[in-house]
Amino acid sequence: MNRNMIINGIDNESTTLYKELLEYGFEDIIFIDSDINKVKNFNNEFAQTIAFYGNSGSTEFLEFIGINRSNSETIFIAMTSIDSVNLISCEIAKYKYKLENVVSVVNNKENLPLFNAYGITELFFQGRSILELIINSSGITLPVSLLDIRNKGTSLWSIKIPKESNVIGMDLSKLNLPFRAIIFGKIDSKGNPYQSTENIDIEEGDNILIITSNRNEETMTRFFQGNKNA
Amino acid sequence: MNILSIGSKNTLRKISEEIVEKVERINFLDTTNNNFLNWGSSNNNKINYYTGDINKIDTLINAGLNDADIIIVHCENDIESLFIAQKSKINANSSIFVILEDLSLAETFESLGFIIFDSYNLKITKLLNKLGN
Repeated sequence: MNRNMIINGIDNESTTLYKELLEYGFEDIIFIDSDINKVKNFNNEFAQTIAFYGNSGSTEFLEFIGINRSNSETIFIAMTSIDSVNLISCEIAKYKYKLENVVSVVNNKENLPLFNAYGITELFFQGRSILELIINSSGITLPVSLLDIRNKGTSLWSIKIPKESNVIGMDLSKLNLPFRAIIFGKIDSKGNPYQSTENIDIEEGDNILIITSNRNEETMTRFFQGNKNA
Repeated sequence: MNILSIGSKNTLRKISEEIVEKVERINFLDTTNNNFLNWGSSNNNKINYYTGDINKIDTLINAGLNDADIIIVHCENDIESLFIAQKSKINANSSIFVILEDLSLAETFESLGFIIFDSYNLKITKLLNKLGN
């Protein structure tokens, strides 16, 4: 079956992205945007028209640009800088047109659980790497999602215990989290793994492995930080 | 019942006029209070006005989201209305009404649990029924 790709949102990286996708063998790619100047400027870079101006919340426009093309598997990617546009256009793609391949950028961390809750689970959080660098350098450690359990809004998380954490000295087997979670265990600073049933103290630099809903990310962060970082 | 009304389009003002006697409180929330000021002063102590970034959950909570039994949303465009509606769905017992300009999206979002009104043909029977008309 043929494949066509719709990318919602044009930015400074779009030209590079387009060329790289061509190299990966995707041929039928179009970009859409609600900013007519971005569309014009983007099209000026190519001999043929590959960008279209319109409202990605309009089914008429989405159908015009091929979201329900027959005999083709449509891949929809939302990468605008506005989360409302990304979420709603992905939901239209997934629920109205039954597309299976829907990917979105999330710009605001607060909205990550919202995307997960509504089944948009193939996500890329725009600011995460930069945010983690800044936050981690300030002594706070953010949980890192190691494995996304697809379509569940749940992940396997690793969180490194910072210096001032309130849980340092607590017995791992008696750790009582204020949210629903499974604690797998810990990996100490030397790389030794311990099960959560073992009576061993939590120490600075340990990584605790936890399965919990993505919506608990902030609660988990607060729980494992020390008073000085809270 | 407590109502949280998000946006400041005239549709919301008209709805509030129809239901104000049937509810305990109506909290209006929008990004600015420009339209609220144009509505003129209200002497009704059931009505409160809030402003802030409606895309942030803290703003919604400050405007009474946690206590709202019914949430009505009509923002600048359908995408924003639907996004705010979904962001407001933190309580399974609350009912969320969304007023849309383009009804081609109605079926999709009704299946996600929202009650859709047509902004061009506003009939609020479902809302009145919820209030025990």
